[in-house]
Amino acid sequence: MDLVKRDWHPFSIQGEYFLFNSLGSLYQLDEEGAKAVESILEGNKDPHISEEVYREIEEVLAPYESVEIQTYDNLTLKSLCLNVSHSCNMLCNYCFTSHNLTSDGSLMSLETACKAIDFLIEASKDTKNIEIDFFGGEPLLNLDVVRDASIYGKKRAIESNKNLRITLTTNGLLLSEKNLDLLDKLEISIVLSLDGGEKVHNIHRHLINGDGSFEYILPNAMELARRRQEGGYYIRGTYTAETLNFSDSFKELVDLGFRYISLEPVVTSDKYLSIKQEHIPILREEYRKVAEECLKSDVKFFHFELPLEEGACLPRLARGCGAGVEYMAVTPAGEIYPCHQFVGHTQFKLGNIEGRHINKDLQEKFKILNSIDNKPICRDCWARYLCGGGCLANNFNINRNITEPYGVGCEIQKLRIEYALWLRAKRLEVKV
Amino acid sequence: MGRHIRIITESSIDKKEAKKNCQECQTPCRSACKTSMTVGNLVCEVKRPLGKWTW
Repeated sequence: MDLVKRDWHPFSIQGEYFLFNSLGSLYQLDEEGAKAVESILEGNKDPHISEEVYREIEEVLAPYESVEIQTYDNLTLKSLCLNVSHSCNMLCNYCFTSHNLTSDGSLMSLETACKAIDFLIEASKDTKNIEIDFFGGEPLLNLDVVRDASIYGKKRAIESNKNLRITLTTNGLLLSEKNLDLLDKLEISIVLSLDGGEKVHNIHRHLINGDGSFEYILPNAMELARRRQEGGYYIRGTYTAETLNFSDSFKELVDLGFRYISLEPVVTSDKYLSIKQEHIPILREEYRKVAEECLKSDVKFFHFELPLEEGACLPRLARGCGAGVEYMAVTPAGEIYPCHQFVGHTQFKLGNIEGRHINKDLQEKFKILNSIDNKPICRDCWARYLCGGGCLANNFNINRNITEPYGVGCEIQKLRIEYALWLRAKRLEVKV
Repeated sequence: MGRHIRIITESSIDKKEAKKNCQECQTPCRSACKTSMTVGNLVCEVKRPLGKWTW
């Protein structure tokens, strides 16, 4: 039998052998089976492996054939990131907004926020599910606009027969019980930045006066978790070259009672903080430890939650994040960028909410780059339908070129997927 | 179940699936990551409608 190499990924974890098909199937193999699969993928059957083994593998894998993906041009905007505040009450030394225009201190007016919501409602056309995300800076510094824009958005969504979901990303300093009451009432999902325990968190996440912020944020974060045990929040941490042992942070966060956790690699060109190729073996071990912790509990680690059976359809998986097309960011001044990470890099400014002018040529460039078929490296990668072709902003932040893949990011993505698949296999084993 | 290979998860994607595209699922770079896009985390809203929360 012939297997198209780019559609299959054999891998082993802790002496166990697995085979992943890019369309979402996962198999476990014994050692002989793994050798047989490797030889099939290389196009040379191993004479030392019996025909019986090959027959068995062929029987299981035979139903697979390549699927032709239908691509679509009629994509609509469905998600807006509203940078309601370009001011922050913290000064974290790895923040991607610190070095550009997002730290100019400005706040979005309610008028601009409502115009942006009108733009989203109309540009989303027949798409029912739409999203806004309050981002910054620190969005709670502009709480009145968060409140009033949410109320306006919900009203407009009902009038337009749409389902609006709202998210807010916060450093947690202003997440008082009163503010949390409001966010609960408005059903706003919350992402709270917490890097781990006190020691790790305070390495990078400082108050304006330089003090660590952990002691001020933790009580608010714990109250959030207490209220939302069934979901509606994520604790999001960042690890850097200085804090590679993030599995310890994960355990600390679990011990503190958090059940929804996302720990992300920093994206920076800072030579002391950036993740480098030589860190990959360390990260592999760290993800292994996190996966083992997840196996012991019901904690959700964001990147290990791969809903293979209930995941998105193939045309969606074959596109990237939608930056510049399905997803855009709006600044306090009403400028439109392809996503929150491009804000302030004026060469990527797409337009302005006033007049709704969009630079169609620039948008077309993003549209093309959103398709994995247009990216040679991604097109032949086994992980393409789980990754979607990587983050264009990361490409820019690291390589100053949106078309040049961020190689270390690809490595992290792949090893993260392997452990997500391992975890899935182990969880199913436990269930049996 | 064979001796040398066993199925853990079978893909639900087939030829019919390849032509869907209702655009009702979320955008991938949601706030829980915000710096590393992953379409693999997306849930199909037809197969499993999300509730009021983003996740």
